[in-house]
Amino acid sequence: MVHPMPSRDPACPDGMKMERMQRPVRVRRHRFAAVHGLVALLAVPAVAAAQDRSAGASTATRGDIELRTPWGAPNLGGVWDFRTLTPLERPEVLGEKAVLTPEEAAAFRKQVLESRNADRRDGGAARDVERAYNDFWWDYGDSLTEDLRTSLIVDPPNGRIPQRVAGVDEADDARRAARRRPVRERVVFGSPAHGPEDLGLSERCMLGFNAGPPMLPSAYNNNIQILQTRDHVVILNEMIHDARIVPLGDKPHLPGSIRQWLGDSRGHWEGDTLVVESTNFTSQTGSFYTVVRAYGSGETLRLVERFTREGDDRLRYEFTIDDPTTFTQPITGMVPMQRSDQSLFEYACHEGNYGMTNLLAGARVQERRAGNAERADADAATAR
Amino acid sequence: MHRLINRRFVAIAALAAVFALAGATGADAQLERVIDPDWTLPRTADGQPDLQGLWGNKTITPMERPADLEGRAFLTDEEIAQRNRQRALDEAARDAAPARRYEAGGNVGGYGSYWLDAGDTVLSTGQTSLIVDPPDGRAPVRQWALRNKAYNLAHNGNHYRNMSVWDRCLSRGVPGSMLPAGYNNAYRFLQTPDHFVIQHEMIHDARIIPFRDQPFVDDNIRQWMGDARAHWEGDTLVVETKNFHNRGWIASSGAGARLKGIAVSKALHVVERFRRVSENTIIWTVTIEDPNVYTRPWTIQMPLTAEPEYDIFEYACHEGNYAVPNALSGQRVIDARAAATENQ
Repeated sequence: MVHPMPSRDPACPDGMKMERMQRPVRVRRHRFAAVHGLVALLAVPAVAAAQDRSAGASTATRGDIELRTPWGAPNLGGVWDFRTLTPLERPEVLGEKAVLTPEEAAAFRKQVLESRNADRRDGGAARDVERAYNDFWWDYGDSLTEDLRTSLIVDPPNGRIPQRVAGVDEADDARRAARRRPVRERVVFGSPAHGPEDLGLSERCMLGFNAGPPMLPSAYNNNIQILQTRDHVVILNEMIHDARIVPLGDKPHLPGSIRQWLGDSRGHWEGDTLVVESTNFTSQTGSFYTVVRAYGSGETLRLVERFTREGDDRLRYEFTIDDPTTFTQPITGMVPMQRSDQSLFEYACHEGNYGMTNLLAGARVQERRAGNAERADADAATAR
Repeated sequence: MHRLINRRFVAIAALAAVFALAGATGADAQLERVIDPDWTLPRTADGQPDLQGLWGNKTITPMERPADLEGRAFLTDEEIAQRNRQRALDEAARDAAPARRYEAGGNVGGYGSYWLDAGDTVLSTGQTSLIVDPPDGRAPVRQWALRNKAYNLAHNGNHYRNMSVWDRCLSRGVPGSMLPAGYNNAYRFLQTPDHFVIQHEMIHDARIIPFRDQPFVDDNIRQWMGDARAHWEGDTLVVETKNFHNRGWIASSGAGARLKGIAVSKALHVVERFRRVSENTIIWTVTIEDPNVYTRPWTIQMPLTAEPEYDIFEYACHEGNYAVPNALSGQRVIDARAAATENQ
């Protein structure tokens, strides 16, 4: 006696086949986006509701946000939005060009927005299905960073992920080719997964696509909320609602035997910059990542993040990946964040996440078909 | 429309105040054993009472008053000592018991005391139940909710949606996330000038609660942890939570006893009060109002004890959690055997 499956959320278009890249987890955010969007629509005619919402937003009213906390620390509190069209790595065609001219930036922006436009109908039925998610669902933002840099990576100066230590890429490639665990990628393409552990970390709802640490902009939920006390800083990532609770001061790191997905973070102030150092990452993650690739093992990673408030509405976020067992030189990136007057809602990653079980069931069907084909070949051979 | 909304808020607030008052009268009698009259409440830089730090609430005091203590709100000092002694003896006996090999298909046992961290003592207040109102120490649960719960617990191998929301690693909800359980009974409180943060070790949920000058989210937005706002009433922090959806459970662990598995309705309205009464004690009082599920509001009150040395680590709930598929596939095997027997 099994309960009927719950009906699909009417806010979420039915039967959407998602592009492989952001398969199951994306559904979660879309549900929120849908709710969010509905609220906005409903709020327009309902003046009272609209007023309530804008009143809610007004805690972040421009100009009256204290620059310092009551105990004198720089005030980094609030919701910060780090969407951007600027890529993590500089496109190879740009060579040594670190900054675009305004004209080049406009052309680049136009090109990116066009390539992501899912409302086009120029690819036939299959592409139409793959483009199920349009800009209503995506939330990449629509602008480059203000300084018009060609990459979020600022060091190495070529804006690209540096050379790996000899053997690292070979080991990563061998692991991926053999589909060996641990799978450190956020998303795995085309895996004949035997179990959940063969799928990507974000598909498994372990870590968000953009949550890192370090945080890197991705397709949606590019928001954090920071809260501060005299001796702690809370960094809440909207994507998978992880809250990193960072003690300030000289409390020693956890012993090396304790390893965590988010590492073990300690913070201190250097002038007006909050510096967060994290170690104790696990071998289940890479030292650095893009959505589809993880580099080396996080075990030896030392991550340094810097948060500096620049005026009322800007937060400068920098990160340095220091892992000499993976990279031949450190990586430093800079991601500007803008104050947001929106609030964060619950991110229910695993709730109704049928993507995982459906992918596993699909892989089993493919196996059976392949098995049947082999048997048919054998039958044909013995019949001769 | 604006006015209507406001009236509803006023009505809710008024109700909450009445119930809070009802809870508070019982409260002071409870607190004799834990209030430190010579202690000065510390304050944050912006003048709030300082509740920050690591707190715990593991205890062997039951959720509801046992039948043999009917009519008694408190234990005597002798009874407290006797219960704590008996607990220690029981634990020692369990640890000393010889290892047994269990048969597959039967009860394969569970954690020893090494794994559990459910507390060794009754609450320092000496109260006979966590529930302090109604005065009989029992939750006024409607019959349908008890039947619904009994069905889900008896059929939890049939579908994951019959399983505990905690077993499913979703969320223990509010106030479920603060109710004592077999382990991980630790909470970190942080205060900023405009937010109160509760980090729950179990399922690593962090409630990030704005103070009340930020209005509640729209009524259409429903969350596992609801939507919460905090404010100060004197030196007591009051947290009001609503906007729940109806998929949660009020209590999800065995320590919830008869309340484990009781449904939450969209009408759930929770008011929590945090009052620090000594260096080592915060009194946590929670009044639960959900007229679809209970015949009247009811209140849990218990001390939270400072545990400054406690380390909260990551709680990786779903990582390697094979219990849900295994429980479901186990039940399918049982179903298949039963069907085969019938067909013979």
